[in-house]
Order: sequence, then C-alpha cells, then structure tokens
Amino acid sequence: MGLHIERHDQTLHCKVSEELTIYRVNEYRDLLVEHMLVANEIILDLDSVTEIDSAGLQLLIAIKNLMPTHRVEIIHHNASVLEAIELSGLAGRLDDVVVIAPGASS
Amino acid sequence: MSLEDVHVLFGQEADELLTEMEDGLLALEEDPGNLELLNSVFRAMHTIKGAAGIFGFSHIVEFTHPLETELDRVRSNSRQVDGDLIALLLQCKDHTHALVAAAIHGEQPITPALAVTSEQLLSQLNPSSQKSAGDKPASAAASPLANEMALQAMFASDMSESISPDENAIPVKNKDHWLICVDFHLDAFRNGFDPISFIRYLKSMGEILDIVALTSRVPHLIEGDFESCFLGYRLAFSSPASKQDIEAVFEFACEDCEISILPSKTKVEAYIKLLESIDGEAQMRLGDMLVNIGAITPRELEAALGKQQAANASGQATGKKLGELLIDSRLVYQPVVEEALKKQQKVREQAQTIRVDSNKLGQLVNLVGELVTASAAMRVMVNQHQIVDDGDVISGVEHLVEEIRDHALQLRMVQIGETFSRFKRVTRDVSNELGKKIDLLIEGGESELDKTVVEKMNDPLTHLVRNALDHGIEPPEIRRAAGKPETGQVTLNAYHESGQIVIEVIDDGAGLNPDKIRAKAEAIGLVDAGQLLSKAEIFSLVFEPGLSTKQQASNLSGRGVGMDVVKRNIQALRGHVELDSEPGRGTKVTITLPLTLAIIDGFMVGAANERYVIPLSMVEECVELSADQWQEKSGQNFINLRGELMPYLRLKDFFGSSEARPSARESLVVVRFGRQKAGFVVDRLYGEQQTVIKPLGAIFQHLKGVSGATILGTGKLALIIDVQGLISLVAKNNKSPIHS
Repeated sequence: MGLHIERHDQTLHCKVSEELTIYRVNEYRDLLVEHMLVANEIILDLDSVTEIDSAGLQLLIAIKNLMPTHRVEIIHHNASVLEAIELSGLAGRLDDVVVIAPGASS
Repeated sequence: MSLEDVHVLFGQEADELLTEMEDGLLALEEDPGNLELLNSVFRAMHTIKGAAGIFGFSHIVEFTHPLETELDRVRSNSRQVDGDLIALLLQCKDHTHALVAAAIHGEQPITPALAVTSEQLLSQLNPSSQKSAGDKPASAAASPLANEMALQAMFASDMSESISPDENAIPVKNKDHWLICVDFHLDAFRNGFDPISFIRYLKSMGEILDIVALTSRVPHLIEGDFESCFLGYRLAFSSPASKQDIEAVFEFACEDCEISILPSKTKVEAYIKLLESIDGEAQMRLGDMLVNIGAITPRELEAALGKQQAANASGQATGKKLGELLIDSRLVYQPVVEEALKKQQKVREQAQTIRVDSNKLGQLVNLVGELVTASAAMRVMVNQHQIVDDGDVISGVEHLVEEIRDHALQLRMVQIGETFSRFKRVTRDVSNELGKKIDLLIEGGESELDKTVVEKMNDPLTHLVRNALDHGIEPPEIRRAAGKPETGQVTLNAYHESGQIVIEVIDDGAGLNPDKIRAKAEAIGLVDAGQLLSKAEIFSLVFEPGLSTKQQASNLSGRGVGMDVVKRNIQALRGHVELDSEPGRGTKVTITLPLTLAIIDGFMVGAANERYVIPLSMVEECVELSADQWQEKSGQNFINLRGELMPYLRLKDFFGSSEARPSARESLVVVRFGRQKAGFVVDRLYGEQQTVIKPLGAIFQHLKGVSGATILGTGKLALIIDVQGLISLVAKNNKSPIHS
C-alpha cells in the first residue's frame, strides 16, 4: 500500500510511502476519493516518497485544487519532491510549507 | 576603363541612389516612424558621400556630409520627421543630383550658383550650425591641404560613428533568452515522457531563467484520469544553443507535445543582422533562408509546408503564404519574416541585373530581325527546291530563331512601374503648389514593355498626369461641396491586352464638358455647326491641335506640349489614345501601345497580288465565305457573322488593286481590338509569319492604315496593317454617305 490514510474526526492524515508516479496515481486517487467525502481537511505527508514524476505532481495539484471544500496541507516535502517541484515551476503552488520543510528534512 | 567611364558609372549609381532616396522620402512622409525607410535614405546619402570622396568631388562631400549628419540626428530621434523636413530633404536630393551632374561634366570648381544653393540648403537644414558650415568651405577654399584634412577628419569621425552602434548592439546578457512553450498531449505520460526530465536536460544546456507551469487543464480529483497529462510549460531559457539544438531536446516527444521556441527581442535583432549579411549571390527560398539563420528549424519548416499543402489540397480559397503560416503558428516573429522577404526581393533584384549598353541590345535585336528574315528566305528556298527530309531541320531552326527572337526582345522589356513612380514626386509637388490634396495610385506597375517605348511615353504621360492634377482634380473646397472626398485620386494603370499594353490615366476630378469642347471646336472651325457627333467623337476632338478648354493657363500647363502632341507621340509608337469623361465624375485617358517596335508575330494574307500582315495577336478567327454568302448592300459595309454585326473592309478595294473581283472564295479575317471587332476580306490566307517591322520612310509618315512594312523571304515587301487605324478610317468613310 503506497498511500496510507488515517482519519481523525474530519481530518485525513495521508502518507505516501512509496513512489508517487504514473503507475500509482489513479490508485491513490481512488483511495483518497473514497475517504475524502467524510472529511474536510487533508494533511499529506510526502516525507517517504521514494520517487515522483510529473503525473505525481499533477495529482498533488488536483489535491490542492480541492480547496476550498477541503483544507489541504502538504507537509514534509523530501529532497526529491522539492527538486521536482522546483524544476516544474510549481514552487508556490505545492510547497506552501516549504519554508518549514527544508529545516525538517535537513 | 578610363576615368571618364568611372565617372559615368558614379553618375549612374548616384542617380539610382537618389531615386531610391526620393522614393524613401516620399514613403517616409506617409509613414514618418518607419526606421527602415529612414535608413535607406541615410544609406543613399552615405554611399554617395563615400563615392564622391573617392573621386575627389569635394564639393559633393561638403554638401552631403552635413546632410548625412542631419539625417543621423533624425535617425537617433533628436529631430522630428515632418513635412517641412521632407520638402527640404527633397530639395537637397535635387541639389545633390545637380552637383553630381556638374561633377561628372568636369565642372570643378562648381559654379557659384550651385555653391550658393549648397550653403542655403545647409543653413536651412541646420540653422544652428550655419556658422561653422559657412566657415568650413571658406577655409577649404583657402588651402587645398586644409580641404583634404577636413575630409579625412570627416571620414574619421564617420568611422567612429559606425563603430559605436555596434557596441550598443551587444546584447545585455539577461535579455538574450529563448521563450519555449511546450504543451503536452494527453498521452504524453503513457508514452513514457516525463516533462521533468526534459526540463532537467534543458538545465544542463543553459540557465532556466523562469518557468511557469500551466495547470489549468488539470481536472478535479474525482473526475480525473491522472495517467493523462494536462500540463503545459512556459520557459525563459538562456543558452548559447541554437534553436535547432533546443528543439532536439524535445525531439523524441515531438509527437506528444506542441512546442514553439521563440527567440527574444535581441535574438530577433540578431536574426535580422544575419539576414542582412547573407551573401547576395544565391537566390533562396524564404523557408531555406529562415532555416539558414536558425530562426526556424528544418522540422518546423517541414510542418509548416505540410500544413500549407494540406490547405491547398483541401481547396481553401485563401491559401496562406509560408511567412504568414510561420507567424501564425508562433514560430517566428513578424519582423524576421519581413526582413527575410525584403532580403529575398533584394537578392532577386541583384541577381537579375546586369548593366548593358542599350545600343548593344539594339544591335542584337536588329541582327535577330535579319535572322528572322533570313530564316524566312531559307524556308522559301527549301519549298522551291522540294528537298526531301528537310522538315525536322528547318522547323528546328525556325523554332530556335523564334526563341532567340523572344528572348532578345525580352531583354529590352522593362517594367513600367519605374516610370509610373516618377509621378509620385510630380503629384506631391503639384498638389502642394496648387493647394490640392491628391493621391497617386499606381496599378500594374509590373507590366513590361519595350524600353524605347517607355522612354518615348515619358513626355506624353507627364502631360496627361499634369493635366489630371492641374485641370482634373478640383481644390478641396469644391470637392467637398460636390460631395466628393477631399483627397482626389489620380490612378495610373497598366495591363496587357491581346498583345498590346494598355495604359490608363484616370482621375476622379471635374471631368470634361462635351458641350464646351464642341462649342470651342465649332469656334475654330474643326466641326460644322449642324454636324452629328457621338460623345466619343467629341472627346476625340480634344486631341486636335488648337483646342483647349483651359479657362486659365497655370504655370504647370503651357509647357508647349498640347494634347495634339500627346496624340502624335503615341501614334508615332503605333499606339492609340482615347479619352472618356463624365462631367463631375472624372476623366479617363486610355493609351494602347504595341509591346514592341521591332518584331511581331504576324498573320499573312493575300489580296490581289499583294501580301499584307495583320498582327497575329489581334486576329480572332478566319471564316471562309463563298461569294453568294456576302450580304452586301451598297453603302453599308457591315457583315452579319453568326448574328453579330461588324464592319468589314475588302483589302483589295481599299488598297486600290485594279484586278477584277474573282469569283473564287474569299476569306474573312476577324480582328479584335479592345471591345471592337471588325473583318478584313482577303483572297488568300498564308498563315503565321514572324514579321520584322521596317518603318516606312518619312514620306509615308502620315499614311493611315499602314504601320510599317516587312521584307518577305522572297525579297518582296508586305505591308503591315494598322488594324485600329484602318478601321477608324473605314468608319469615317462609312459615315460620309450618311451625311451627304
């Protein structure tokens, strides 16, 4: 299971522990959709992502786009995620907590 | 090459440059912001100055150098282009012309009058520097050495000037970047492409200054298939790599994305520079040229050409040009394409021009004429001796002679546009002088005709255009009162029609009043009071000597060339002139001229024992009619051909052959000129014949109906029929019985 979801009240704590790539994105999507209807907050932890590609970034964008019906927070970007975000010019879209993240990852 | 020859060459070059400058100035008046026009004016001045310096025509240099400095100020925006400046510069151009002419004729030092004009113009041009400008010639005159030094200083300053802009042109590093637009297709991910990897690779080639991801197409989480790609990127990329190198990065993905790579502003300038430096020898296609300088890549060119072909194949009426397509698909910027097209045009002109003495061309055409006659003689010989198996050889030679003839004549063909565009200046000057607003519209400037004809048409055309400007177009107030646009329009139009060229001078001015013309004609006894005249006949009276409806003579008219002279000049070229006018609406003068004066394709016919040549281009058809088919009534020389009524003429009768009319069948040759048709009745048809036109002697100058003669292969003469003249003659003869 690449995506692990825990629910606390209205909040979904999601953690990707494997690759966040085209091979898994639709699977993650289904899992999220299944849970998100009963939640209003999603916290996505990317610390353990082993690999990310543009399809993965795209999924992150879609999750971010759930706002304002859900509050979405993406945390713990690891180095490879950060690089991908930077390269794709998505800084500012997906890394709103990046200011904290580098400190956390280093 | 003697020094004199070189001087003549300098004169020719200066002439061309000055003409270019004049065109540039006139165009600049319309479009004062156009830097390219300004540059061409500047270049003309600069080149003349340079050349004059080489030949030691110091007075030209002294005049053109300040002029150039002034132009440079305009170029650097410290002086505004306005009507006054243009007018002044036009005067300067004229004066330069005079200076050059004086220099070539060895008038050095120049006449005081020219020197005074020089100074006047210069002080007008730049009142502030009047003093220094005035000082210079004085000191120069004092010592030749000082003169030379001053010249050197001028050139030295000139060189430093030309260096400095280049320094400025070195692009600021940050601005020199590519703009890359990539929009991926839905299947890009599934086909194994990851945009991140492309971007990573790009990074290894240069610096990504900025990147923006377009995510608006990304669907809602619930609906989306995230194996599909919805991304697009815009990158600002700084790299020494060429467009083609950058494109190569995306090569594998070219099926899965739309890429356009646009150069930055500085790149555009670089492209334009590159275009300018392309060697002028080879003619290139637009696409090749753009690929060559790296503005587009071969793949882009191929795609665009493919699109173009597809559009043509699908029968779209508005097939786009390659340049437009490239701009539309955002592959190149418009200025680059424009520059390329300009360059192409230039190359084309350069590649096609070679200076040849026109006398040599004349000799060549004469020789070709002899050759044509000789080959006709050979044909006669061969026919007489009935040599077997001659067909191939003879027709081969005849075919070659025909081609040589066409090419030789083509050499003398020039476009009439150059002559037309001279009238731009005339129009401008006249409209300023008379306080009128007049636009000159030129159409069909690319129509070609014989150089000698063009030269001889200069005076008549000038007269007609001046007439239109002076008498035709009304002053703005009157035009406004008449409900017409304030700006009058004079149109010069040229087009080919049935082997002739038609030149029209049209104005939308006051028009001519037929009653006035008639009254005047009666007053001077040209026509009788009660005589019936059609409108066309009344207007043709305008070309009679002594007839002028001018209310007052302005200084533009009264140059000793009347409409009768215009007509005579045109007739001397075997042409015709017609005038049509509608009071209040305008006037149209139509001139019809043969394309060439030397050799034509003729149609030979026989009447009695004589042979006649009708210009083949005017022959519409030949009909054989037996004697009983003539529907001829005395006094009515009209024939009914398949329901169409047309005048006809029996050549034999007209040229007064005494031979009795044979009962054998005669033929009717139907000729057409313009919208009119007529028939000639002849005894025999001989068919096509290359005809070298020999002018008739001075005695026959006023002979009507015959435009020349030609020598046949047998050594006999045949008359060349002037179709239009002959028909109008017949029309006149027909009319007389009606009146009597």
